Amino acid sequence: MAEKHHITAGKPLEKQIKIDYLARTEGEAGIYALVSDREVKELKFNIWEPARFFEGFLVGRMYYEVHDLVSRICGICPVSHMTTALRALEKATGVIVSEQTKTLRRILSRSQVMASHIIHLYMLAVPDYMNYESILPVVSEYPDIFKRFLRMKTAANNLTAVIGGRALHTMTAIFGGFTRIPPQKQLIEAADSLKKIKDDALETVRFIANLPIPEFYSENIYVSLKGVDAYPVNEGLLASTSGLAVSEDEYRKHFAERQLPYTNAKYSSLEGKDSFMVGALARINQNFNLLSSDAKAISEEVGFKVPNHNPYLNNLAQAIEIVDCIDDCTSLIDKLHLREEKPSYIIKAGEAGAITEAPRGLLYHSYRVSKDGVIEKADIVTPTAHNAFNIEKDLNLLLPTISHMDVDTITMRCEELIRAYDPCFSCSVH
Amino acid sequence: MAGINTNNRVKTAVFKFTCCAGCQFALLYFFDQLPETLELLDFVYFKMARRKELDEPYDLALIEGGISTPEHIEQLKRIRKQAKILVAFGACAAHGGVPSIKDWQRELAVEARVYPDPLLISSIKVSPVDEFVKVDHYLRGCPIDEVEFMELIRSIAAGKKPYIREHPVCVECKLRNNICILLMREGVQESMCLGPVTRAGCRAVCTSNMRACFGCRGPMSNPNIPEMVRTFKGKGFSPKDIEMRFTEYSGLSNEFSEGARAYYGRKAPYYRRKAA
Repeated sequence: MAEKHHITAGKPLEKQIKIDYLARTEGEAGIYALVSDREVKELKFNIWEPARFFEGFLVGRMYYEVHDLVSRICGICPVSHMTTALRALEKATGVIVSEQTKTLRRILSRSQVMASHIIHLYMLAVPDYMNYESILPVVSEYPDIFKRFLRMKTAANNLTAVIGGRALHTMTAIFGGFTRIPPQKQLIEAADSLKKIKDDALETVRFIANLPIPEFYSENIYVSLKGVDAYPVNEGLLASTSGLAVSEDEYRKHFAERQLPYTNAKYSSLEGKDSFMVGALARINQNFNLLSSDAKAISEEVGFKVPNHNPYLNNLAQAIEIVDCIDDCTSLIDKLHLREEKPSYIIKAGEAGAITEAPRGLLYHSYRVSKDGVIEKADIVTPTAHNAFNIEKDLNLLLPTISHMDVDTITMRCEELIRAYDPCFSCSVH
Repeated sequence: MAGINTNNRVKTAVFKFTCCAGCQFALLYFFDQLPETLELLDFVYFKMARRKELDEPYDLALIEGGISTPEHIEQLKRIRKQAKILVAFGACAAHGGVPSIKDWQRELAVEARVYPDPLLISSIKVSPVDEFVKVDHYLRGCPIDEVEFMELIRSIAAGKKPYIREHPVCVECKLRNNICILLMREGVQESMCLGPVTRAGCRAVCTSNMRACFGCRGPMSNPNIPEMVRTFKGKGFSPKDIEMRFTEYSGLSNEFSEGARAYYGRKAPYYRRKAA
């Protein structure tokens, strides 16, 4: 972080905001901005994370390994990449999976959303608002908060591991189903430990709502899946607050990507021009009525109303989603009667895409498969790639309103804003 | 271990290169499971966890990710000069990992499938860390294993040599009383198990979940690759299947690249890693 004021004759005071390597996010990005009195002279949101070319090298690989490989796009949301790829490939090849598989995938996805939100909130986002540079001082100075965080994280990770085999990079979900069905007893125990952290989750919503989160109004276009009778996770209508309501198959008709010279992430836009926001806030703005009754009640208690147009409050939306995840998972597990089943299928050629809600928002995977099961084309757009354009738009909107502040405060506000989006730069340059 | 004052916590810097950040994320995951191990480390630089810039010397460098840009090579060499101990942290740093699949195809063709103008992207072949600098310890796996991590960190803090296994995953799998996946299921992708040639240390986590080992920890010491290839072929797997399996996570290791080429009859023409 460098502080520089340029004062030259006849020119207004200019402030340079420079973050080379944004901390407490996943992956590598920085910003450079030059602001003078209520005017942004220059702004670059630079995602310099090295490109990894997944869409390139997946071509020529076999259908049965894609979900494992793409799960390595992200260390925090591997389950999302896995389930999205599986559904796209199964759709492309005409393979129908059982209701049990769909339910297990839903619980697995939601367990990962929970774990991701919990870690993002407590370890990555919150230290700013408590005036710390990391969570480390919180451990000794606020042991109750830290213990609450650990209890929640352990319960969420445990559920992922019971279904997925382990908490990080799960391996039981495969093309057509699962290699093994989790023992019902373990699943019920995992649900019991979820019920025990329900109060912690409610307390987390209150805790986040009481942090000194900046007031900032930015009326975005919100894009997410829209559920019919359940909060959207692995399927739903592709919908936006600007009126889009189409099936996932029409994604490419409405969303385009372009390459910019100063960043490795391609920028997504809606209908070729607009930036838009995806993530917890977008989901809640479009699906508030589908939240569990307790999630709705706590939203009301802390005064969170939809539509909400403060991107910093994406963090509060995440906290509310944790409550909903707990209610959803426990009620699904209570109703579940597991039986042994083995995937069986015949591979044929085809092409299809699938959209799911990853922790950070809308995730798109599409593949073309040959009759021998070889991948001929891969198209992946991640939540942070969707958000990158909007983050830049929000920074452009934010900077003039805070340009009178000192450089350190401006820098901090920018960092907080970007972190509120819960970006994953590794994902964005998949 | 040379030069580390065992009375103090080990000053540690975490560096990320080309990868999914899952292995450094694992450090955040281990917070509740391994607090007493993490307490041995003083993270002077760890961008995913703290804002603090690198402004003091460190003893231990944890290197996550493969090397895939010219700038990476320079940065890596600078880190090597500074660090007393350098650890290749995870499958990408140890063997290139999943992103190194790109090395088996024509570079520009791969890049052009992703970017309209690949020339704006600074990228070279993906290489493991030891292609450019000496590595003191390898913590393999995608992701790293917490028990092995504990062993390594405690050993470094105590100044002794860590016990990192060199035998195959099969040993750990048998110790867990698993039924052999390779023998049990015929011709199903899920039985294509690399356990007999892959280095242990993961506690056979995949095979214990009825999932074939995909070799994320790279080759064991002195593996019998031709026999592994013959076994797969005997079970009805195609040369394509065999090549895919050997190149998923550790294809850049000399042993696994030999397996990938064995029955395919194709030389990998765009692969230019020097022979060991």
